[in-house]
Amino acid sequence: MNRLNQDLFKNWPFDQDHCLTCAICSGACPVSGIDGFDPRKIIRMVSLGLQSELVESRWPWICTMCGKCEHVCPMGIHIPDLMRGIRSLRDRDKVPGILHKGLEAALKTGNNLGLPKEDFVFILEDVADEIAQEPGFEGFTVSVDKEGANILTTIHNKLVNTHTEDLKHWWKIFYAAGEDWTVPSENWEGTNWGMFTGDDPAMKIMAGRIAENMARLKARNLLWPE
Amino acid sequence: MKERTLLLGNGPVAWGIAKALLSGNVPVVLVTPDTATSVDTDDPSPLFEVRTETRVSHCTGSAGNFQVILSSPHDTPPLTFANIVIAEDGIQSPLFSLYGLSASPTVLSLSGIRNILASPLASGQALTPGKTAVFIVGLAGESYPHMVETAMESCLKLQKNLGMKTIILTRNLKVGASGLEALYRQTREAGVVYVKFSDTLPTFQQDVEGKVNIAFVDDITRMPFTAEADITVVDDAIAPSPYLKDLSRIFCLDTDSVGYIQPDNVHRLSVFTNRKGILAAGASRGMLSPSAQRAEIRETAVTLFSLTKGTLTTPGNKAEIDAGACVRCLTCFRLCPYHAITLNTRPVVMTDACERCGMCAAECPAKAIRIEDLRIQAISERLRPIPRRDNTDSFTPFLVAFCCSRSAGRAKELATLSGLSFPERLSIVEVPCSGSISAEYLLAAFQHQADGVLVFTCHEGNCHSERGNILAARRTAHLKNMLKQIGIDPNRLLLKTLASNMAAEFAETARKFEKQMAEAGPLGINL
Amino acid sequence: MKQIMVIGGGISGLCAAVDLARLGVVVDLVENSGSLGGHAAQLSCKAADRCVACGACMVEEKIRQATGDANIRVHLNADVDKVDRQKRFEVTLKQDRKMQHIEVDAVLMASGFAPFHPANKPYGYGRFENVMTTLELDRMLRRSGTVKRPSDAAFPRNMAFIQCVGSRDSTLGHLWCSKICCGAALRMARCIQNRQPGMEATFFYIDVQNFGKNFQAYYADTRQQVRMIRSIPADVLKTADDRLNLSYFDPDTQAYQEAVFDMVILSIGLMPSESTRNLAAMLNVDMDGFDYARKETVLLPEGVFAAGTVLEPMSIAESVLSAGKAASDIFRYLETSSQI
Repeated sequence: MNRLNQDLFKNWPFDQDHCLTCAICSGACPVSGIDGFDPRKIIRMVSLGLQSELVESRWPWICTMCGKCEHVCPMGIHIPDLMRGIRSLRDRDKVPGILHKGLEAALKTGNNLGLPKEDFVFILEDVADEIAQEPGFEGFTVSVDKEGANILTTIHNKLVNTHTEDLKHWWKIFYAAGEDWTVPSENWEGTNWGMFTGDDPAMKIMAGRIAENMARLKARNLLWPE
Repeated sequence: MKERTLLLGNGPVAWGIAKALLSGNVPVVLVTPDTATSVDTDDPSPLFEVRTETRVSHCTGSAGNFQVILSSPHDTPPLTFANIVIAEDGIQSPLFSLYGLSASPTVLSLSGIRNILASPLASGQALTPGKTAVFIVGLAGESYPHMVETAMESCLKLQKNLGMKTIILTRNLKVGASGLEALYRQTREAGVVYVKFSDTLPTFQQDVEGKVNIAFVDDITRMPFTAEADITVVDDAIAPSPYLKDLSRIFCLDTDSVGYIQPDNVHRLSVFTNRKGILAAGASRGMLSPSAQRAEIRETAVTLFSLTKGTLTTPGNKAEIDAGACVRCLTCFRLCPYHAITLNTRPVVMTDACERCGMCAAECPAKAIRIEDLRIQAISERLRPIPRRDNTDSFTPFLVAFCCSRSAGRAKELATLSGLSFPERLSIVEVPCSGSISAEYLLAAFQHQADGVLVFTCHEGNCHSERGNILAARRTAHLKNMLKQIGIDPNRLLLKTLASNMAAEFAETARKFEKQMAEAGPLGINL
Repeated sequence: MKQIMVIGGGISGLCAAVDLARLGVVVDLVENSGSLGGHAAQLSCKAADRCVACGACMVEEKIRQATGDANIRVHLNADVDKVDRQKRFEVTLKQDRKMQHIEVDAVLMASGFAPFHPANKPYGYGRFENVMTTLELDRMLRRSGTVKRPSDAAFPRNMAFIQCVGSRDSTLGHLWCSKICCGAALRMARCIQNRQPGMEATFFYIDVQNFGKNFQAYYADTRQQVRMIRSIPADVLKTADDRLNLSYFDPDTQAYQEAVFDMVILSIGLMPSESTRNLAAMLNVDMDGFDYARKETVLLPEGVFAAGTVLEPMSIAESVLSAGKAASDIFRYLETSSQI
């Protein structure tokens, strides 16, 4: 313990030093116990300055970012932010799974799949056509890049990849409600793997693009389900 | 002019009490076995006398008139005191051996490190930046908030002012005192590491240079750690002064299970002992934090002023011993919880000290002791059966409940106030203490046509007379055996312990007993 | 004639009043409710096979001493309406819409604490009948002598005690330990086990605090009878059969765990009360001084004193000591102040 350098995390503004080890966070966490992970353990490792152990460990990546831990913590420790902070310390090529690769694609092309604009619009219109053929939905169209709409919605990449059918549910609700909605043709990606991987600059860029869309298309409300 | 007080002790509590009493014009004689006083008595008041190298060896008498024999290298005639205050300090001993450690320049006690840090020349080789100090607080045994406070403050200084690394090893972190939670936060922000143990303990290995190698598994991360402590600080065990053992014997004072001269009995709060006129303050009566001990000084003063004013005297008839009937068995002398009986060739009750518990009268084999209003004749007069309601043909038992006034007496009052119902034919005989409830009383109740008899006493440990309830329980058990032997259902006699705030239990016990006795039928003794 | 006012008829106010009355001081004891005794008078005896020295019964004795002392004038259902400080304190009491003016030489604040209300905690308090606070459990025990589930009046076979509810919590601004809750809950658990044999108690805690004269021995014994889990539960939900499912992190297995109980008891903390705030304003006392989190004693103006849980969380025994100390200070003040 003499060699521990607690100063490594000293300036992190997440109040992690206030932990009184009550374990409420670990009790609330939906993934506590999986592969030996629990949030209290991570907070303690941060307090002890076990930086390399934390960066190399799979534990911080098990967290789902649900935020329940912070909600119940009596010291108000910003635990999800802490997890993200640890994630940010890993080299990008060691980020688990496809998260970073997908993020790179998104930064380059505006979406995790690298799906070109024409293909994206084609898929949307294809699904719209299918809806229009259903009784009660005659004349259904999907509006893309409409200005001044009431709602601008983002799209989860899986909805234009493997789960296109799932677009239909809420499109039909919009139609039945007579809602005035639109989808941007570019930078439509709703997931933000910059947030997941602790990459704050990337997170800002992705979020910023959505904001730009809002400004450009002058939509009144943003629907961002992801 | 108020009466003279004997004050035993030589620490801050004793000296604080001396000062407080003197400011109230109470003459004080401070007596200590120590060779010197811990405080410079530069301007002694004429009311104040200090005797060093002096011990108490014998004491007779009672409040208002204690005759104390002191022993010292000088000639000391016996002195008379109105009251006695015992304010000896406790003993603090560091728990080095508990961890296999031995004291050294780098293995210190908590008070040791505090003193070092308090002096402006805080140093020593080991107190340099980058070195590690490990504090063991409440590991093998539970600690105390004021010790945790000392440890935390020391660690804060070591981290912030001396750039050292500090680790606190503990079990349950005692933060139950003002400001400690905030102090904990401060220490965490300064980088102090806490390791809390639950079921495992660290191992310690002290080397020749005074460094201690520590190994443990952290409960939270389940990771093994080692630490090399350049300084190790061990907390103290706190124990009563061994002198208290002598004082307890000399003054006939009840002690608690640890050895403090105040039993764990709420009636003694805050500074009373079982003897009127003798107070126990600070570390003589229990393990108190320094701030509590300071508060104790004033509490003692105020209690003593009340004593000298005479406002703490118990009113009523006191015990009297009939010299002619007394066989000098000395049972009463040995039994009296207040030590209110003195031997003057024969036992004599010191009236002012008598608290009317009645144990002496109930236990005297020669029936030579009486308390006027607690004589069997007086009690019998209170046992007139309550008549039945006219319009009932079903059997309603006549019950007598002997109630200790402090517990059941008050519980009954509360029950009445709360509108709880009692058996119709319940007669309550309230006595000052259940210690006076003799077999005679109980038999008298049956003789007066009681179908069932209840005895309500305080819980064990809650009796103002310390043992009155125990004796009552013993007598009741004995009488139950006797009843059985003469063919009377022993369940017609029931003993229950309760406290003054247990109104529901009082009423429920009485009601349940009534039902039982109704089923048992009338006892049918007609004398 | 020396005369003081004690504001608050709980254990501290009663003890101070009795101490001072015995020294010849005339005391006006002011209590805003209809009865004396404060919170201590709501508590149950905690004896199991013997007394555990919780002190709850002492308040009955003190009430008797206070009401029996000729030097003490008790004012029930009375509030302090106004305080005018001239040479002495001119206090206006409001009692049943009637005003009364009393002049005293000193004032003792003994207005006690407020118990924490756990509405915003995820424990189902207020929604699930069988979740209650330790104070409510105390009242139930005192009133009826037994513990029964409110929803079906059945005896609970197992009970969970959750510690530190509302204490040691900076998100609430309660950066203090309420000190007495560990002892209260453990003693209560053992008392109930004694009255209702077979009841299994589980104690969820962070750090057990000391209580009683020989804590070490009592605690060692208690651990044989009460299951101790060093972790605070996160959720309480009701099961289909009207029991309570509690989820927590098991420190032994280091995994998420659920356990079902018949009742869940929340060990609520103490906090400064609103009445203290009002009183402080009237007496020109800085209310921040009564923040339980700070260490230093509150600075009080001359002639104003404070005792008991108005100052910080403390046990009944400590309140008696606090009151004695205040009585001593007041007595000295009365003797030395030139006002008289």
